[in-house]
Amino acid sequence: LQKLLIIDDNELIVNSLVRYYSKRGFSCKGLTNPEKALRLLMEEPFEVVITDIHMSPVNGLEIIRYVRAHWPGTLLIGMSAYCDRDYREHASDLGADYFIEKPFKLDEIDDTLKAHFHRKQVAS
Amino acid sequence: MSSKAAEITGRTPSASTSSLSMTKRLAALNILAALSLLVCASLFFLWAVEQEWEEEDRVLLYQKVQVVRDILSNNSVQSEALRNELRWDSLSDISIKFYTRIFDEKGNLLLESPGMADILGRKAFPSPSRSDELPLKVVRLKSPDGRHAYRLLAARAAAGADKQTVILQLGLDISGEVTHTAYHGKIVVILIMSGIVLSSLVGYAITRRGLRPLREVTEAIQRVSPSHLDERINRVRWPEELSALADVFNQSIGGLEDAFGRLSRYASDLAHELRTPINNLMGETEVALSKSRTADEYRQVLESNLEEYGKLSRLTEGLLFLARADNPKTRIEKSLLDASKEIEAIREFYSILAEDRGITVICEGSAQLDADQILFQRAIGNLVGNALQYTPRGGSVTISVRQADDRHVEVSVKDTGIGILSEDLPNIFDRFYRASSGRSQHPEGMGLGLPIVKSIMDLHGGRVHLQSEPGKGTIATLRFPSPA
Repeated sequence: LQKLLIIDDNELIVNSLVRYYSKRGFSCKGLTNPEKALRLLMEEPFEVVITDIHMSPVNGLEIIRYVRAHWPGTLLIGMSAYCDRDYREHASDLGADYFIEKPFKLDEIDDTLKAHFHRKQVAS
Repeated sequence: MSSKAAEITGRTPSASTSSLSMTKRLAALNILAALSLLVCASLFFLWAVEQEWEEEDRVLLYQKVQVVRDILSNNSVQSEALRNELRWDSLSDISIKFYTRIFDEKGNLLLESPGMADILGRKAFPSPSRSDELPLKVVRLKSPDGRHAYRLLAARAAAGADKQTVILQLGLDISGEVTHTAYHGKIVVILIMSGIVLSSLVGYAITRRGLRPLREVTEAIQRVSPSHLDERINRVRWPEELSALADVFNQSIGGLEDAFGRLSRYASDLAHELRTPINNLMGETEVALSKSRTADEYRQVLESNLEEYGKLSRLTEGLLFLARADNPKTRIEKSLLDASKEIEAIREFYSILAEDRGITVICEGSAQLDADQILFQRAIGNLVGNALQYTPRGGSVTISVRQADDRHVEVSVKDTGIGILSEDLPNIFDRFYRASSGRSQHPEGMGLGLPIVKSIMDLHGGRVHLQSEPGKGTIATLRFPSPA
């Protein structure tokens, strides 16, 4: 079972993503508190982390930086309502694999995940 | 007449009240229908949403079972991985919140989410099914304060390398759903409330509009009064359901107008018939009293008066007879009669008059019939009397009897008289109606003979038919039902 973590300060988004990916066979966890998420990530690895960027007190970029530094194998997907180029570039500089603009279609994330796991399978 | 008018006007208010209550009744039924539809739709909506939630939650619970089984298949119950998984139960800050409890087959608790013991006791869970197959039984549990709700399931799992069987109890907090459902409930209540208001207004408006033709009928009927019996309802713009009513109404008003006309003609004819003999009596008496007379002269006046009295007496007797015959309660005394004997008796009775007038009276045929003897003789007598009046010297009157068919006996009186004009025939049975020819030839007639014949035939359940050709003669046919 692939472990997937969703972080967004909007509970509705986390809820629906958790339900959606649980249905698709992931061991899916969700949090709205980015600080808590960061603490957890220090102890426990996840295959996939999907995080909102614009959050406080800890923002998504810090989460991306931390995950990239400690769990290099994790697929990192950033998402934000702000289609600011700086954000996008910054996120990818920090090691985000993908960046998705809100509002997004679930297909976008699905495709990204499929491509990732396909590559991983080929590599192994 | 005035009391009748008052009666018709007096009914008006009650008629309008009942049409109003019909509006209310229909509006109420409309509201009831709309309401039951709304309530059913709302309940179905709530039920469908609940089904959807349950399905979604079942997926989450199954997924959690799989996650835990997955961890247990590679790790022992005391492993770090399982502890991490259970730690999530208390960490979750979204509405999807799990509670996990693991105990061995003997019932010894191995692991439990923090705080679970206080909320979800072991006994609240269903017992785990023997097999690992889906579906698993999911039960719904409400906290005693009603603010929290949970879906619970239990399953078996094999733990660690030695495949020790453990029992897994999983609870999913669905308090968020309960809040949602309560919200939906509020919306449904508001929906139903506004539905009541809206359907009341719409229902009332529709019913009023739908019943408008009925009010128009009422108004049209209200315009009818004895002085306005010519009022008719124009049915063209009415819906077909009411046009039948309009037809019936128009028909009965037509009948009423007819009857009313006949009644008032009857009254004026009656007054007219009474006036002539009374005037004669008064005139003769006044002349007699104008100077002193001899006893012989007084006798003459009295004899002449007696004739007028006799006419008045016959008139009132005839009217009385017709009035009795009109009463539906009147019964006649039927007996089996030999018709040939009866007509022979009538011929006998009229023989002197016939001889006097130089008319031959012939009887022919025979049959048995069931009739009231006195009335039978009266009917035939009236016809024979009429025939003798209007037949010139040298003519003949034939009374014949025959068995017309299995069920009828016909008695006819045929003369060779002056006949009746075809324009007089339709009215010939009306009281006081007198054919123009009859009036000139026989001014002392009263116009009650034929109506009485018709009444007698009505009482016997029979029919009277008159056939005539002016200048040649008349045949009056009485058709009696045969004796059973």
